[in-house]
Amino acid sequence: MAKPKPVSETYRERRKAKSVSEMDGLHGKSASDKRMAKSLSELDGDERVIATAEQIVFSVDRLDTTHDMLSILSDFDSRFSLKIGRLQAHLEERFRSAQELVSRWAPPTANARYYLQAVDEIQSLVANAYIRDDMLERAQSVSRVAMDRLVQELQHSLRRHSLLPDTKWLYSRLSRPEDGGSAFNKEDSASEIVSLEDCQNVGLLLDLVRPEVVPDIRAIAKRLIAGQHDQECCRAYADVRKEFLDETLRQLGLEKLSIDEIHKTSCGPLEGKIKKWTQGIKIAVRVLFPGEKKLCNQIFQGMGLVEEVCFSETCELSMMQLLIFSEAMVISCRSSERLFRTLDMYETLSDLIVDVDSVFSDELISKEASNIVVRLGEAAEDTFWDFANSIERDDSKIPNTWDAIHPLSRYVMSYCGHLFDYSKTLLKLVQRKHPNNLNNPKAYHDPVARIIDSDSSDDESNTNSSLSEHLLKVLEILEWKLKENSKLCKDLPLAHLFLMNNIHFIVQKVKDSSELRAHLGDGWVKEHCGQVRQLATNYQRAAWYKVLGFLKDAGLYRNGGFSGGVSKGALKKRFKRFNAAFEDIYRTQKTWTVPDWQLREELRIFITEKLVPAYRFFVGRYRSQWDSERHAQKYIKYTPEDLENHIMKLFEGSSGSVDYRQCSKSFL
Amino acid sequence: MRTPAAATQGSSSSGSSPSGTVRNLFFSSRPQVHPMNHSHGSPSKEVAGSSQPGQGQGQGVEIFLRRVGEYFQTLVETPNDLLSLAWLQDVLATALGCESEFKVLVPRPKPPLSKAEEKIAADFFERSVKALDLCNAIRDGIDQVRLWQKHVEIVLCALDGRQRSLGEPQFRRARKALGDLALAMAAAVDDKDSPAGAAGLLLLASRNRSFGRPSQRGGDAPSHFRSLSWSVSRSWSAGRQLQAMGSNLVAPKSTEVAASNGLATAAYTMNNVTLFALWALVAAIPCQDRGLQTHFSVPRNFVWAAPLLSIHDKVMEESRKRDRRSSSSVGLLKEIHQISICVRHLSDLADTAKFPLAEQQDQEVRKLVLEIMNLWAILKDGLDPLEKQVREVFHRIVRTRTEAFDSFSRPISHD
Repeated sequence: MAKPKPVSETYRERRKAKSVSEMDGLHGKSASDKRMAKSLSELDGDERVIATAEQIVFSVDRLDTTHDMLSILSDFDSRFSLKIGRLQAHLEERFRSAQELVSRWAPPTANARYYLQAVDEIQSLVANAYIRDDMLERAQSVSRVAMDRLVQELQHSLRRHSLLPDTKWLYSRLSRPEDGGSAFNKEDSASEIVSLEDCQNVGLLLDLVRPEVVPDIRAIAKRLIAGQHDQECCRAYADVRKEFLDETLRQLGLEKLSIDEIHKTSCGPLEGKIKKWTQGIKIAVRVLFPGEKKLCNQIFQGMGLVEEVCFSETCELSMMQLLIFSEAMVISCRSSERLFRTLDMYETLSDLIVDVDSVFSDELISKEASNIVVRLGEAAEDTFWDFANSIERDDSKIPNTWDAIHPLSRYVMSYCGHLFDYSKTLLKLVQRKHPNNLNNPKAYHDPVARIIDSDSSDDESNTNSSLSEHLLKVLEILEWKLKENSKLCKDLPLAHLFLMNNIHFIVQKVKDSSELRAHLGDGWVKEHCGQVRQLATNYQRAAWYKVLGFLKDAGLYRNGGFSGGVSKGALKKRFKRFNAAFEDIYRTQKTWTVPDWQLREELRIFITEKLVPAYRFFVGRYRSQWDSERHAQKYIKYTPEDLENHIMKLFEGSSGSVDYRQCSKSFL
Repeated sequence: MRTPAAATQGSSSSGSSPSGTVRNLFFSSRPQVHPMNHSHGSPSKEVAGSSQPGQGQGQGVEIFLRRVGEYFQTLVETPNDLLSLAWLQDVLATALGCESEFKVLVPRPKPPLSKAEEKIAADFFERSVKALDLCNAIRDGIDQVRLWQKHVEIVLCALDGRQRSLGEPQFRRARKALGDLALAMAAAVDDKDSPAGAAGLLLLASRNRSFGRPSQRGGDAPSHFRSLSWSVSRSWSAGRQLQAMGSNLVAPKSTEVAASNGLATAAYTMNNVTLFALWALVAAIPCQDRGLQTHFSVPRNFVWAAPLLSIHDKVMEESRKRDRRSSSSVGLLKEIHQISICVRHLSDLADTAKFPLAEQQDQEVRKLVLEIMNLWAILKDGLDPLEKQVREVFHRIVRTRTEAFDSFSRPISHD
């Protein structure tokens, strides 16, 4: 460490210099001066004038105090001393009346203006070159009392007249509405641009202190600075303003949290805190801090550094506190659920960087903020690339019901949907070059990253296509994961139904989103529609193959040929079995669910088309085998219409159709 | 609040810009390590050269432990006074140096990590998050000291020795500043920490505050000073945080060491180094709810154990000494301690002073002011570099975590 003694050294030097000048001054009354003064009184006429002039010239060379001149002149001629005496008396009178005002002044009856005038008077006396030493000391003493009083006064009136901004009003200045439900709404981003415009000036609209008092506070501050009490002035000002700023931020829901606390906060509450943060930091940087800056300017303009110091001491700590929160987010676990929140924070903070730069002149704050923006971006980007892996790693339990949409499907599709709300930001992030891509351990064993890195370039269409690749990969892994999952289902028809439902859900989501459709292409949609059909067929085969088998002629004839005639016993048995099998399927599959009504309808029709005509034909062919209708009805329990009605009741679910919006982890 | 972030990056081992190059740290060549400026026993070159990546990890751990031992031996022998600013900088240099050595050991992330390694890493990161808050709390504390410095500045300004005479007006201003200083210091002292100390300081504060001041308004100062103190919630405690960081930190069993290829020992050592550095900072710098009850139960067979424990004992002894004098719960930092002694002395003088001052008193005051000015200058020059180092520790921890997440988020294996 360097020797830290410059201050004391210069101090000592200056002290030395000062004492030299003091010795030379008339206050010190050096020996030569005394001799000269003495010899002067012994001279007469012209000589006396010349000697005095010489003395003055000599003094001018060495000294700069008017006091000394006056002293020389009063020695020269009694008229001077008379004048000087009168001047002193006048000063004394000025001092006394000012002193009286300062010491006897008592608010609220007294007028503050007179007090300030008296302070000015005292200050000007302290600075007055003609003032005698004893009066200077008294004036300084009175000035000190006055300064103390003014510091208190400053603090008092600031505290009394500071206004807490209305949080509702502050929120109303924000682009996004308070309820987060529509935070991903496209229309919002349009309205954001509009309100950003007037956000720039909101800070200037904000009155943090009653405007009518501001000139008074400025008047007090002026005296404090003039009285060289700038440090006390800054402390008093910043202490009070910081209190109010803290309180405002607290009312905006910005808590003081340690990184550890944020780290331990579970997902749900953290979402809330992040939302509060993104709103809060916008309000702070665009409204509150500029408001503080305006106030500092109104009060301290033209008073040198004080304006800047007061502002930074009021606001910098709060800014740092806000940044600590985002720091904690960067550090905390990078789960894909956090991606969009991280992107929110990234977008918010990178939008604000310009404002931070303009509000804070301290480079460190700006650097800190842009540093965090970079790391938020990295965190978001990493999470983005890692998403496919996170699906692969997903170990959510076997679903309770196999017929519903798997939470993973909802989750992934919700992710894909939201991706486009952030596509601009994401593209910007993905576009950034990785100079160390070769050394990137991620690229080494991450298939997705490898695919995309292999053709990464600055070209936007390329990046765009890398987004498509990402989507394709994500959906591919999702499908694979769903298939793996379906293998765990013991009931084969149900496994097919599960896959059909989920793939259909995915296709539907893609169809509903023009961006997704554009990125994945019509070919993808067509292919997956085909897959849904295939799965429906698979299901129908697995579920109904046996039942349809009962409607075949084979095995009903004696001697194995048509010529042998129908075996009544076999026929009876056949119908019995058919009825039992059908009822069995009906009973179980009535409780299964196909959440999408259209798909449900289509599937029922599909089954009906397969089953009912075959049944109708079968019944028509063998009804005549019974002697009487009564007999026949005993075995032919269902008319084809009955079957159709039953089939139309399939897949309703045990408790009606499930509202799937209620049961999944979501990005919102 | 001054927080050099990116500015401190230059001194980091990677020497890279803060943006975007986090990952290549794993591939950076061995960082240049210089424990401290005084060139005692600079670790030998062969040792440094022999732990290039690519050699067996077990051997690397051996070298790491030896190097940590060397760092701590250097720290024990530092000529800087215990708990002085310069000493704290030595402590942080030690921690940062050890961290650079540790980084060399961290394997290139190649999944899958063994179960044992995974457990060690998870535990390591759990503790490191706690270290981050301590870093922030210490930055707060440094800011707190800066605030005190401003009050000291007013005292120095008021009693500026260049003035012809130190009269009542000068003393009036100085006394008020002394009162504010005492208040600010009292606000930093947590009542739980040392009731006597806090009460004493508050008494001193009110004594000076009441001077020439209408009594009905005297009450509002303490409450608002309190609200300013810290950037964490009131319930946060540096002492508890330290304890949480050190809880269950026990030397790994030989089976664990074997299962993790020595990583367990290295992680244990690094945990202790970080904990020790932060503990020393909390001891010295004012923090919310300080508490030094952290125990270092380190087996003596670690090379670094003996020097670490000896420093720990010395600090504890100093702490006990100070507490007995009930002088300071505001941190054991030597310079703060000395300033507060001078300030106390000056306050007493100011209280009893009759004006005009007697020659002897005048001399005494001027001497004290000079002394305070020296200390003020030392603090002024030393706080910024110290804060930079704290910031650096913070960033290193963050970087290591970020890198680790890259390696942890790999699929472990899929069948």
